[in-house]
Amino acid sequence: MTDPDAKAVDAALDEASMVRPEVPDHLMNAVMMDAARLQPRVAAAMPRQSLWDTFLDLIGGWPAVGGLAAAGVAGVWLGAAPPVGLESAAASLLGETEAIDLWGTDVLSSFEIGEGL
Amino acid sequence: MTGGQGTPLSDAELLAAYAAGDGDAAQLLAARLLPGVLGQATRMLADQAEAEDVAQEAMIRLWKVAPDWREGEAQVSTWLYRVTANLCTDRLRKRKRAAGHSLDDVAEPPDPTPGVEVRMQQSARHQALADALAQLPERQAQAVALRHLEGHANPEIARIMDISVRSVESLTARGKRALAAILAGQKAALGYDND
Repeated sequence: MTDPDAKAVDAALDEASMVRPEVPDHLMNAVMMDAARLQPRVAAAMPRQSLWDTFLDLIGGWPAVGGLAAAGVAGVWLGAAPPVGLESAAASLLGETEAIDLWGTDVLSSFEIGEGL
Repeated sequence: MTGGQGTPLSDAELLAAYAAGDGDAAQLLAARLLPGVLGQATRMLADQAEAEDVAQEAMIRLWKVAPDWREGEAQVSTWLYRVTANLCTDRLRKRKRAAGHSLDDVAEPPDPTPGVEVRMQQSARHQALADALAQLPERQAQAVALRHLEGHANPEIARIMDISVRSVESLTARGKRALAAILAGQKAALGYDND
């Protein structure tokens, strides 16, 4: 290798180092599409929702829980201490309750006979 | 997109934002980094289409590494220089294998055409240089390209290539000698005087 050889290499390297290509639009678009395709999904990165939170979302949040609780308490109260007139009102609306023998005979009578032996 | 006190976010911070689902961060990163990646690939390969392929692939690797990127471990730009240099030397090696060539069949300057003669001559010289780089061992080609095409200082090259500064010096010196030997017989054909 001679000095002129080295100079030629230096000149070629200097010239090539000046190359400054513009980024074409199609390349930028392709890179951005790759970025969108490969971006980690945010939902996957978020903490998983607990069962209780899922339930709350399902019924409509805390206001709905309040309504449910009030309805439950009212039901218990009506069951334990029904207001006066509730039973007669129910009877007039729904009719009296009556026991009906579907079998027409006492189906357990044979057991009673067996027991007696 | 800026940091807390109005300072622009670092590449690593933008990469973390991208990994957290921020689409704007990707746009900013691409605008900031892609020109450098494409430039490095073009200077090393002397082929626009191949350089664009390499640039796109390097950016794909960046997007993929984003969720695992640990800030402080390395600079994003340093990492990208390394990835791009590796992709380029892969391409050069394939080109060399495909051609099975000696430099005799490379970079014959085109017939001069008025008006574009100078540009074509430059292009032919660039192509010859890239083909000569393809003849070098991979590490020599990378070191020479990073030093003389990208203009990095030896300590920066050492970081990019993950080797010692002394190794960089050795690789660049041997690489340049080898390049000169490969191109020795082509100065006239490439438009350089044999002085």
